[in-house]
Amino acid sequence: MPSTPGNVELQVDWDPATVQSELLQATAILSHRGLKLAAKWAAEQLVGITTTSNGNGSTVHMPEISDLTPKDWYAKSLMDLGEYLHAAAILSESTDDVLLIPGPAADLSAFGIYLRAYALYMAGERRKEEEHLELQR
Amino acid sequence: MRYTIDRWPKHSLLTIVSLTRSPTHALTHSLSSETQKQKKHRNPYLMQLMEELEQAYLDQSMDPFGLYVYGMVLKEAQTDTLTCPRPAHSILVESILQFPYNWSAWLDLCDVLASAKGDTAALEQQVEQALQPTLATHYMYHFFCAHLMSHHHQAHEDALVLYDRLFEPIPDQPLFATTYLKSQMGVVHYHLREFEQALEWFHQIQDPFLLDNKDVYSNILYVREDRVALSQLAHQAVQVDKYRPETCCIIGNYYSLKQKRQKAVLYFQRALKLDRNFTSAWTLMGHEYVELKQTESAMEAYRRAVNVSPKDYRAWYGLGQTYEFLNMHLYALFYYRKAAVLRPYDARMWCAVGLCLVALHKIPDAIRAYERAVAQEDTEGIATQKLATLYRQEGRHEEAAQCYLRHLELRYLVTNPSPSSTSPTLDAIVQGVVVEAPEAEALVFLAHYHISHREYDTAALMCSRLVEYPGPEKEQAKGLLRDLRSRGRRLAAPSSRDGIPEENKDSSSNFEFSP
Repeated sequence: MPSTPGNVELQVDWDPATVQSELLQATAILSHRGLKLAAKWAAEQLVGITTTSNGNGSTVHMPEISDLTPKDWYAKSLMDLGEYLHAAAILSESTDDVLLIPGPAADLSAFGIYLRAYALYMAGERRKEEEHLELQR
Repeated sequence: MRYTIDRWPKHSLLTIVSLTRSPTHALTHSLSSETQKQKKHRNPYLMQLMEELEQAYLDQSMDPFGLYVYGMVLKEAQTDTLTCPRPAHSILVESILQFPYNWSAWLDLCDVLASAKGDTAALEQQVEQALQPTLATHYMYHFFCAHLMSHHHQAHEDALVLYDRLFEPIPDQPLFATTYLKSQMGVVHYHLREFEQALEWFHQIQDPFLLDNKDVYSNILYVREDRVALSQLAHQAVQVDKYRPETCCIIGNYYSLKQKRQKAVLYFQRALKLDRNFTSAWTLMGHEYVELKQTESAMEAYRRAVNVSPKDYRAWYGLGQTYEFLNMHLYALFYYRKAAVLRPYDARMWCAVGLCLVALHKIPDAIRAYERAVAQEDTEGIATQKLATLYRQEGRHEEAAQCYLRHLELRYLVTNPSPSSTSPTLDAIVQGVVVEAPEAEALVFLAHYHISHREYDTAALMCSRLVEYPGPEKEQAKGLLRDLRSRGRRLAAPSSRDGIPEENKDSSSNFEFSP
């Protein structure tokens, strides 16, 4: 069990303005990535913070909201609509066979790698859920 | 609510369709087919993803989010006991170190730690050591620790300390005055059975559209039998979102409070159709089946609950109860012990263990169990009374007397709460306590006890209280009083309460103790 934070003598230095700025940026990034629950959590904390001053900007390094390639955008829009398998396929090598998803396309950005994996994972989760429901009938 | 990672939305169109189509599906049927299907469904792309992401990891072409998905995949693979190229926790930690604001990653890390087999303490230390150098003072780490402590270690007091500090790190300057934090405060106080405080936190939320954790809120309203508030909450929840497990649990509680058990079961079933892993619903459904005397279904429900959430003491306790109901005390004992391990500070668990041990005729062990119960807060005095009878059975009269007296005091305090600094006097206790069968038993025993210690005034006090009691003890008490009065005429000296006993020191009693 983590011991250090339980130690009340531990000095914390959370400046509301900084926290707000960090969570604001984080929410945008998470939302952009389609991590909906994480975005909701971050935003929920964000709205609860009261601060008078505007964020003086966090010194913490935040990943950029990346520039997306056309394929990235297409795949992301498919993700948003729940077309998971389709989204994954867009970012994979081309194929005619819908039963198999080939490996990742050659020139994927870090965003593309992430999105393809997430889409494939979600497609699998859906399949799992469908099988479960089918057996219940 | 069991917060799962970013994944398949809980109430998909598919599940809603199935819900409306088969509302009267008998539970026992679907439950047994559930358990028969122990073969788990697996994500069909898991192996492929593991391979591809491991390659990407080695190529160092992943950003923190790629790492997060890889961590998620590994976590799933570990649950399915597949061989993994590397452990899930290390990848999740890497993702978090690069981008600490992904709450889903933190939650998955919690899950991985909670479900780890083998030496979990060592694993936690590893994770701690990896995170602390950069994140020890980061609020995200504090949120994580609080969650881990409360949900997986039952270290609720420690979690409160962290949540308090997150809420208000500097006095009068709230920071994370967020609905999430207030909900968590409510939930933690609920686990500590501090219902007043839990309610206060839930009332601070003031967002009727927020359904997260509102099922816990409904549990509290149920326990306090607040029909009005529960009804209001149920109506609100239905308006906001009918198809959420929280809403279904709230409605289930609502019907349960109205004693409409079958309807309650129906709604808990619905909650589970929406989310199989909603532990609360399994446990609550178990409780309903117990009320309906459908023991087998109750056991099944509790089993599912502990499968999903091995740290839910209520389900273990429920299993204990069902086995006790079937007079299978050895099994009951096993399950009650599990509950007691999870909540060693809860007197009710130890009472249950004690009860079983008595049924199994293991009196010395039973005594130890009740002693543990008494060491916790035994506000109703039940454990103390049981312990007293056991001591008496074993001939440990001094301890029995102490316990009986303490029992009377506790019963007195139930109706006459006194300020913490002052203990009520013996007179006050004896005169003021409500006398029912257990108290009568205590008074008679104490009367005999004090007589044997030549404390005749005290004995008389006990007896006189019994004179009004409509039971067999009344006659005993009257007899003793007559005896005491005649004794008083023979003795001219004050009683031993003044510390000056006149008679011989032979304190072995010639009296018989009441049966």
